[in-house]
Amino acid sequence: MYRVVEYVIFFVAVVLLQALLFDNLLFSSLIMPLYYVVFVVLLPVKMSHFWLLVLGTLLGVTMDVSMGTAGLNTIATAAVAFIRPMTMNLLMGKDVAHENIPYGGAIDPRSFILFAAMLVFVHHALFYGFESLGSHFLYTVGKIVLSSLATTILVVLTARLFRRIVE
Amino acid sequence: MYRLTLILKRIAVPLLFIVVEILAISKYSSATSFTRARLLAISNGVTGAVNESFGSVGAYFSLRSENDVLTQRILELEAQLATRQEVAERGEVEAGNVPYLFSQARVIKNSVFAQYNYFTINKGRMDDVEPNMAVLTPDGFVAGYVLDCSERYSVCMSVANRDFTMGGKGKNNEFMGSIAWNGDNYRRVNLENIPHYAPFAKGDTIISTISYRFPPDRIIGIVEEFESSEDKMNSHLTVRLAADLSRLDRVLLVKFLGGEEFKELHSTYEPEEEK
Repeated sequence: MYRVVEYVIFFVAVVLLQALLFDNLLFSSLIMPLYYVVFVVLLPVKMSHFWLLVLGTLLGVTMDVSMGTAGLNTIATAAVAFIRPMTMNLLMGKDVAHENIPYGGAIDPRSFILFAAMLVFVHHALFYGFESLGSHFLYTVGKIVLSSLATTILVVLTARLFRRIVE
Repeated sequence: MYRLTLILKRIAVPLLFIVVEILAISKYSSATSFTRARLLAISNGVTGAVNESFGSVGAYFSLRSENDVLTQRILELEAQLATRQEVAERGEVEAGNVPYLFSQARVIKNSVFAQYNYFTINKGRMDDVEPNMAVLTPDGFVAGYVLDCSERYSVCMSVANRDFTMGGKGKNNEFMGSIAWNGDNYRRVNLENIPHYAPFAKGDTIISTISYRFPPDRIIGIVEEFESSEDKMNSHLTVRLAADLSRLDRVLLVKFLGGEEFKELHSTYEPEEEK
């Protein structure tokens, strides 16, 4: 039911996309999408809190090794995995109960966008907040907002593609 | 007993979450540049080859401008060589006694927008690259130094890294200070600890002082802003980097043959000198 093979491929794909593509794109210092968080957003709805946290931590550690950030990605990704069930209850309520992934079907697309944006924002705020540790405050806020926006757009596009593959 | 297991079940996940976060935060806060470079060196084993092939496609687009730079550089070096030979023939310096070895490499992965930026080059221990070799652009501008090596790749500390330090001085007035980056803009660094009476002006060239990493007299950048600090004791200089760190491709690696000796000698009376 969990589609293990698809999720393993998805995991490898987002890690490679982040490491080889998004980490090398230099549009502007204010837009640095951390795309890989899409994996946590699109994990199965019924996945237990424990496994969410384990997979989130695993993803964070993998990205830490790949980006050389020593803990920064784990701080942000584990936190997103931890708050995901609460965010889902808050923003989607009963709509998600009969779906496998938190996108499509009975789910209102607007509530998915809000859900994705919220998780992405928390992730980016923790990541860039811890990275700058309070220096260049306005610049960091701008970076968080613009990067979250870019990542959210990418997450929504990926969700559409991913649903077609998984369902 | 049943209650206890219920409670344990409820708090297990939040507890695990707290443990993960504490471990991650302590790891992050204790990480030095060396830890980060080590992590990058590990992942380069996997992504290095792909990055290298991306880099070689990108390299075609800059061939023309690079050729111009290289030709110009050859001219300058020929001129230097000529004077050197002339001097050597007259017996004024010992010929063949060169303290620096030069080699070249390509940058295959680079970043400039993080707070701690590193770049990766396609030469490693197999090519006799070792930590603390200076990295210069083909025009001889300072770009960084080697931090850690794997067999075939090396991770270098970019000038645009908040842990980067080196000595810098005015080309015309010899006043020395230390170069540091504040995490803001990868085109500018600061020159700190310059006495307030030092006669700097906008447009002055800042060059490297000799250290176990860097050869002397390499151009770092030019002075862009000049202001005295709050206590009026020191001046604060903003230096525009000569090297464009976002477009590193070919780089020169400089090995100082007396580097270890130099470092050892200094560490005996400067225990705090550079991590």
